[in-house]
Amino acid sequence: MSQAAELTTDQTLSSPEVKKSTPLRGFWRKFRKQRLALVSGVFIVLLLGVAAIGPAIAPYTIDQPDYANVLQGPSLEHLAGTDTYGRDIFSRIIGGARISLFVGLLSVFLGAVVGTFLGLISGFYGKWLDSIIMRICDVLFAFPGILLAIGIIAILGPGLENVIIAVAIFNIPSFARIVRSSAISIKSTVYVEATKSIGAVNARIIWKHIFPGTVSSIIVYITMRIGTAILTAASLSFLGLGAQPPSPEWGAMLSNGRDYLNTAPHVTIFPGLAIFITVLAFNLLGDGLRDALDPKIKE
Amino acid sequence: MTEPLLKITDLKTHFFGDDGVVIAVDGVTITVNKGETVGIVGESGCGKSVTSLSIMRLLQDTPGQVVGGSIEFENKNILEISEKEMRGIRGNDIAMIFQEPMTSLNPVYKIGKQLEEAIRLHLKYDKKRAHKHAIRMLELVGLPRAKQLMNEFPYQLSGGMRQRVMIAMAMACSPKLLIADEPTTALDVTIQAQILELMQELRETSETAIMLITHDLGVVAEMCDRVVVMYAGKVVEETDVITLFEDPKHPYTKGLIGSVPKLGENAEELDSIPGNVPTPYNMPNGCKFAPRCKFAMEKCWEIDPNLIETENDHLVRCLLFQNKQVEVEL
Amino acid sequence: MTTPLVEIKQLKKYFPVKKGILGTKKSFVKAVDDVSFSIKKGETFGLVGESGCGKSTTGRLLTRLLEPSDGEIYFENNKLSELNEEQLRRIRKDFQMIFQDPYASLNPRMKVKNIINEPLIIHGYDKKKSLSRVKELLEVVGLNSYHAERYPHEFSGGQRQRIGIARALAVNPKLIIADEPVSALDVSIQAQILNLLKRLQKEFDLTYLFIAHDLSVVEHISDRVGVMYLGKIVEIADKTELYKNPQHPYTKSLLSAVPIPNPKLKRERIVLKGDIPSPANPPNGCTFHTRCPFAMEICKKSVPEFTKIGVGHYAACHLINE
Repeated sequence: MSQAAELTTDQTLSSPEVKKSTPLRGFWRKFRKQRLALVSGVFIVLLLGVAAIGPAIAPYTIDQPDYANVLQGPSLEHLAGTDTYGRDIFSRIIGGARISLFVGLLSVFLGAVVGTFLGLISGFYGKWLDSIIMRICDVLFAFPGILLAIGIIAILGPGLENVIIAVAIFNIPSFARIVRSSAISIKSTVYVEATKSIGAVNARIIWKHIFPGTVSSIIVYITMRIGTAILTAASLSFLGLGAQPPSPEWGAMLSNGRDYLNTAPHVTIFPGLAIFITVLAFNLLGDGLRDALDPKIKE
Repeated sequence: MTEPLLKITDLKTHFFGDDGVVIAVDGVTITVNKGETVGIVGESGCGKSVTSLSIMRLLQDTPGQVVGGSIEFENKNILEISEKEMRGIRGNDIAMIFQEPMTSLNPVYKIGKQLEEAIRLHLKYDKKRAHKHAIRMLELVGLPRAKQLMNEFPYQLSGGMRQRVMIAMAMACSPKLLIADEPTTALDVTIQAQILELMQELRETSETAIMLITHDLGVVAEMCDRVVVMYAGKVVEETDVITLFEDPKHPYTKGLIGSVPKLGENAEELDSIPGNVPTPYNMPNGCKFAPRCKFAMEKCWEIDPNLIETENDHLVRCLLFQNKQVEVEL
Repeated sequence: MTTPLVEIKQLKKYFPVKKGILGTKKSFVKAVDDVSFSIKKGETFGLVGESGCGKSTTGRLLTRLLEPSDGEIYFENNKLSELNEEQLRRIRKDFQMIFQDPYASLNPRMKVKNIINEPLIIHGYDKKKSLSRVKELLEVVGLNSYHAERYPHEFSGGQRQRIGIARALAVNPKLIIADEPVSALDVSIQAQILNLLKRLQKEFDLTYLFIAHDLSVVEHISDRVGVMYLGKIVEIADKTELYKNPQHPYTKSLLSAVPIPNPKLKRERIVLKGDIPSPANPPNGCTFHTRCPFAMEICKKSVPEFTKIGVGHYAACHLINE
């Protein structure tokens, strides 16, 4: 058979005009079917918008005390009532969204970066390096999450930055493990072997072949961990280890209202609700992404 | 010998997937007579395996569904009988062996237990008799140390041995029809030779008809009496094995035979078929083979030809032979 | 006679297997055990054998995907073990590999152009010219240049194998190691790829090491053939010589086991008894004696020497020495 014959007959499949199917399109087709995740996604995008413009859309200032209106219940004037200093709780929740999201996103992101790096080299090189990294992770896993964070803060001292570091450290082992297991399975694929046979150096194999293969699991896991991170950060602030009093961080707001649980429950209920809905939204989005991107990982 | 055992008429099996309907089997008519070995040849996606699963009614767990035609086994349409009745036929009258013997054996049970269970279920033997029969079957398929094998697990056996166990299990109830779906494809050449020899022996000693599904023309030449060639869900040619290799009519059959390198022939170039098998989403309108056919004429792109009889018992689905002959009734 | 492009001398690869409760007792799987052969420039050398015979391991040793336990590989008279990292990397572009499974050997997350471009990047080709080179390669292997923007899952098996071939050709290699390149493909596609490989060999002056289990395929494409059994080469000969005048009983039985697509041909078939022994525990003496229909007392004790029978025809069997 001549070359010309081969060429002409190949048009039975795929001509240039055929709509291309890219991995992104495939993802969108699957994700579209996850209604709940889609709604959560929209909610999170809105929340991010609120966090970005934050105080500008809040009906009242965030930090200005108004002693004339202390501990008022929800009303048309104050949608979520006011706190012990007469500050509008709704405005403070809006202002606090920025802090809570920032803490959640940054701590998980930092944890993901370090964890991914460790997971990649651990999975790719194996042997003693893998043993050391994984044993350290095992040790970190042995602590209950919040206890580990408290321990780290005990060393670093209280404050929002330290909460971020503590939550980030607490996230490292989970990412390291998840990335390591996908790295190991990708390492043994034929296409990685094929790349080796071309003469590629290890760094290239890790960066161009193994890392892209783990990205979908990382994205799913990041989304799932953000909820937990927000919750952990709020807990730490609630305990007085994180954001300090005037800050409208949601956990700190809970802490502020705990003495008035019987007389003015709205002071704790509304920030609590904000935490609850946000965490739920991230978890639902994570579930949806998992089903669309990577059905293998299960919490 | 020409009494029909299995008569598939105009079978249509469709798969209902997320992206629309895939027509896997498109009006297939095949007859298997008593004691005969019929080869079904074709490449991946031609519908040969789906045809066999349709016969066994094993499509329930898949998106596949038989949407038309009939499958008559001993003059009974098995598409219409109850599932309970079907279970009586499956394994008893029609047995099947698959390509990958490991997946067809349960890894957590001993060989003996699996064999005995099948025998007791179908032949209603008591435990002792089933045990004896199982050992006899293992010996019959040429397995050494049959008694010890009864107490071993599937993973302890090699691929060839597992396929023998599968054949023993299939033949245990002396089925009237054995459907073998690529039985030697996963095996090494020397082991394949052993299994083919075993199947030939069994064919001679029992009355069992065999429907052999394969892509390997060499296996077909050695095993079959009659051959059905399938392409894109349709039968394109059907004739006895000698005629098929000496006087193939359909361009696809010719191309297939030309594609196989033959030992000792020393050809410089293989006579290959250009292009690729059409996917279910870009099925040509006319003849399904037209885009790859050397002899394709203009009308081939428009008319999907019928299966017609060109000579005695030689059926071809091709416009090149259409004008000369009368159409065969379907 | 021209000097060989590749020469392999007493190549061995033993994989350690840990045994015992503490994993202290070591034993070895002798995947490749004392294999020697050479490949001349421009020829196709076929390695044929059944699963576990070590043919794929031999190919991987040649590409240095695996380190040999012992033995030497010479490439254009360079001793590979004496080259440093950098020299080895440079020489590596001279031998490329084609893999069996066209579905697994292409990264599903990369576009075809990036897959074919990868060896060009690694070996430092001009970036500006790389896209036109990729398109040229696609057409050389019978695809279209617009396929460059697609992902592997949009192609059929045969087309993917063409992409794999284009990748192997990208850096103008001298030797291509093809490990079962057609065994995962349909018959009609198999013939296309075989014809393509033959055409490319002429066009680009390539040398092939063709590894396969299918004797008819190996005979079709090769000039010389080596038959492997349990980590050893049992017979090497010119292909016509090997098929007309096989000397080793294993070669004979292998040849007779191949089903021939000719229903009228009735052959005397040598059906071997039993299974291939495990390479972790190979038989003593001649490794084939457990299945050999002509086995003698001596075969159980001593390993037969590789003996010359005719021009370029060697076999390792005690029957020949008699």
